[in-house]
Amino acid sequence: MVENNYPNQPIDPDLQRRLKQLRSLPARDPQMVARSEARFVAEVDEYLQEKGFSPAIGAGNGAANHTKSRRPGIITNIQQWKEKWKMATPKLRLAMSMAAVFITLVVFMFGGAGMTAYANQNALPGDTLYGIKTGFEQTRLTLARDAADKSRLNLAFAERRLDEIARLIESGRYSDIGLAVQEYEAYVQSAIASLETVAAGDPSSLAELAAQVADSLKRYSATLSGMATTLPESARSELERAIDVSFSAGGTRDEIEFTGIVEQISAETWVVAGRTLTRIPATEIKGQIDVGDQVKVHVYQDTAGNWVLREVELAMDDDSNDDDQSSDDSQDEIEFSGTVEQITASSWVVAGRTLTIMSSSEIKGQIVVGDQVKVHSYQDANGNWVLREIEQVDIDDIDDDFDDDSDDYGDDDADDSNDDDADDSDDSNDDNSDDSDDDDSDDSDDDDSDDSDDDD
Amino acid sequence: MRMDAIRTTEHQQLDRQALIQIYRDHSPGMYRYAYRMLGDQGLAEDCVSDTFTRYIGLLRKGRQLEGNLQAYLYRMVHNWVVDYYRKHTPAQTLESDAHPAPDGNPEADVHERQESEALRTALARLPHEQRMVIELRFIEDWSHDKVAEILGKTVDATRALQYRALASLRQLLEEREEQYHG
Repeated sequence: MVENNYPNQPIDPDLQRRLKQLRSLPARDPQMVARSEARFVAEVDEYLQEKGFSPAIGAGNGAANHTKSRRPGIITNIQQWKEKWKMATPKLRLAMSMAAVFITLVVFMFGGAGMTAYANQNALPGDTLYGIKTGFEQTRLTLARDAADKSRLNLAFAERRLDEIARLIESGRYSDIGLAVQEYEAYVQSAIASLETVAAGDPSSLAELAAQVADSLKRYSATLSGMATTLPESARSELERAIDVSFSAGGTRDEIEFTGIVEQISAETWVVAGRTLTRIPATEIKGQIDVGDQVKVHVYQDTAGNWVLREVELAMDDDSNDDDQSSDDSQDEIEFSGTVEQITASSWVVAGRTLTIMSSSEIKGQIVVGDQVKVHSYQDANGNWVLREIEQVDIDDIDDDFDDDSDDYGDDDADDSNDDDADDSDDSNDDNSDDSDDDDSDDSDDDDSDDSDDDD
Repeated sequence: MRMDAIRTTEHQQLDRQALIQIYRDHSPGMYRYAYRMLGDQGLAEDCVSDTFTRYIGLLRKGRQLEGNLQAYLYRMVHNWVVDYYRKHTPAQTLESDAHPAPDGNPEADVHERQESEALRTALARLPHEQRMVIELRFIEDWSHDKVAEILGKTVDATRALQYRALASLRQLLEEREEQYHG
């Protein structure tokens, strides 16, 4: 580095004092710290485990082709950084605060699990060590940060089961396939369930995630179908079950939707509008449905040509078949604006009003607590306010007088723009919330227009 | 166990230790940095956590990270914050000094808090590198050398940047005070 050949610039003592005031921070919540670190450690393990997996299906056969050259680049990178920053690897000492002890425990706990998991990452269903492997996955799931994260993890784990199925087939262990299929099924279903939570809480990220899930499932179905052809007839049924799950969950099969009266309900089949529909474990039955009800169903044909009931729900109104809950008719709809105060799966609170979420509720864009929104809402028969449509009011349109918005319903046409507070630097990425593509550092030069190599 | 599997496990342990060490070395500073910009503990924790998730995400994609890791991490933190303020009106944190709460806190305390808020608001208005230089130099007490390394600039350039940053900051604070008192 260049030598210090400039005197230190004087800084106004008052400003210096005020800056120092910002130094003191409230103590960090040790539980948050511990949880954060545990999550990071789990992610590291996840990443390493993923990396440790031989991409070639059938690695279980013992072809030892890992060599030193396959060692991933990260190690060299990290060592460079280590040198650069002279990072010591301090031994954990006994004299630590309670918080630190807690962190250590968490890390050791996961560290241990992680190490064991590496040793057993090649374990297959039926192997003694298989339980440790899946136990690790469960732990990882409990540390998922949100529903979207959980959904992705579930999918990743489902994919591992596919690898295992492939390896089981290779080694002719057909009788163990059932277990892997069962877990595959469970993970796929959890992935879908998490997706629904995402739909309720964070609709904007839903589309992307749903597409990811659908893509994965499509891929899985193809993989499974490929595997099925290599299997003897007798061992095929388990695999077909997995294929069905992938298809039905991913909705990649041609699906039909129709409305009709429920004529019969049994454990295995439903009859709706004269059609017999097979009920499977994955069938989604929304609400309490009885014979005689008007319902909307989603069905698809399985490999044997049976119609499978994927989803059934009550058609909205008894007296009209209009299940789109279209807005402008008899219901007295009100429109108002306000701040989102709370978001749960079943209801939102906007400007102090609790609004019930229905399947028909239309949530436009990514809305989070604190956002300024415009709401269309109507009262149902029980007097509850139902959210028909909600959309974010553009930040540019937000009234300066933010505090007043909650009481003037219907007034959202403010002109003032006050969004210049935090936006001086233009390098933010819009996709910061997912762990995706962008390499933030690349664009960091954009913002400081007067590049500092100039005068002084 | 096969030999190659053992070897792989050893390398993984090495990675693992190094990654955890990176986390321990950098997360406290990143948290402080995030907290100063966000003024909210939960958000700052989320920010740090998300930043490391992204970091792992990049490794996962096999991205070779070049340059200074710490600079990378701080920039990611910074971008998270900017992004956050894009999506959320900074009303509560940044504007709170413009609408002083009418509750009966001791006067000195209120004054101090207002001062800090005003400063935080002004800092938030600075361009990203100017802000970084002030925070790291005067709040974290880093040397010019270290800041220069983080920003990928020469020490001279960092000094120039600091000069301009202080000038902008003073100007912002003055504007603020005029607005407030006049």
